[in-house]
Amino acid sequence: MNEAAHAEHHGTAAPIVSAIGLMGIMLGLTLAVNGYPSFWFVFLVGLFVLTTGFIMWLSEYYPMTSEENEEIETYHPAFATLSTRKFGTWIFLLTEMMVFGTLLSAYLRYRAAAGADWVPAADIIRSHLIFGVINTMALLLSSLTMVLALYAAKRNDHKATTRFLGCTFLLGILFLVIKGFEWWEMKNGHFWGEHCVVKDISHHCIAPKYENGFWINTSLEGSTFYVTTGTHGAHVLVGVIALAYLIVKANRGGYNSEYHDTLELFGLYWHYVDVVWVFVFPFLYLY
Amino acid sequence: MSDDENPDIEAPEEEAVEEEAHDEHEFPGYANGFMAVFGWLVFFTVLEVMAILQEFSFGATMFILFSIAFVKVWFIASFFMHLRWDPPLARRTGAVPIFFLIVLFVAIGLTSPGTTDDIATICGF
Repeated sequence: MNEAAHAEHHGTAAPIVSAIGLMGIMLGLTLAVNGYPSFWFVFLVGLFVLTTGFIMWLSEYYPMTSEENEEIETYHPAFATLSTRKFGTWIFLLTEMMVFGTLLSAYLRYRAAAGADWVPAADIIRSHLIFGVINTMALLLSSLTMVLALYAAKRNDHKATTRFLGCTFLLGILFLVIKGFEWWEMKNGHFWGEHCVVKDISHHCIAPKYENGFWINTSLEGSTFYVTTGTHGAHVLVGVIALAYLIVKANRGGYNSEYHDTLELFGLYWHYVDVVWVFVFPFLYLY
Repeated sequence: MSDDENPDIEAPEEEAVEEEAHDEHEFPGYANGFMAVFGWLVFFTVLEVMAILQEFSFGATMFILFSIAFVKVWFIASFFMHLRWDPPLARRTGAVPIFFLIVLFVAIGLTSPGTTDDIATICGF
């Protein structure tokens, strides 16, 4: 990469600006929903600052014709085999594993504590399980297209790279649309509508307490289901936004046999989202 | 002896080059290989849906679901996330949270402190 772009990237204020914005969002949202509505202002300011930081980063990265690939060679020979960016991505994924580990362990704890009283979301979804299965296939297929995009870039095939990234993007959108539809149906109680002659769980119809719908504030079952699947959906949404950017850059030949690190690192994130779904699907949709 | 002549100093770079070459050549028919991995993932997904529809006991169901989930994660991490070809540092980094996840799932997730009705009771207010 050229020296000017290298120096500019390291001198950027985008990370600290984004971090401050994120802090404002978390602080504002937490207080606003807990009885301090005036903190919505802090939330909105945080959102604005985060967006500013994001745009700063985009405007600096997009014109770059090459990518950083600094090696961590200073501390130990073992680091010589891994780029700084890749190591940092793995550290980021490590923290993400803890986030979803916490959500899923909390779900299991609540469910174990409730015992037979627990009405799993799986029983509510069972009649429409096909949506969960389609979403699973969509994510698995998107992982395949993502890795094919990376290898197309390594072969200098810009068109194929863009095409595979486009497929990944569309599959991500499909996942979100189906998820949104599914939530809407569950919230409004459509999943156990007129066809449920016998309204009990053994017939895969709904428990009386969900007769008017299943939503985040309906019960602990609803809270754990929507928080976990919502957090996962938010990760898919972020991935889809990032994919839109990658498609634009790939379309102008931004990734090739020499410079494809960004695709590989984003791929790690996207596959990680897939890994999370591998656990979310059986434990929230199947059982 | 200059740095160029010192094999000890050169070794890491040579390893890196070898690692890169390993990465590029290990998977010559990569498209078919990745499609095969995708096929296995679909197969295991169908398997877990079919297992649930059989309505086994709780223990058997948990064993089946966890086993299939870990196999699927192995496929994704090894092939799609390239851990199979990455240097050990990447694999070790990815393995770090496993200890914490074991603590979360075993010590917290699967303990039953007593019957609870709602989140307000659990949180103590």
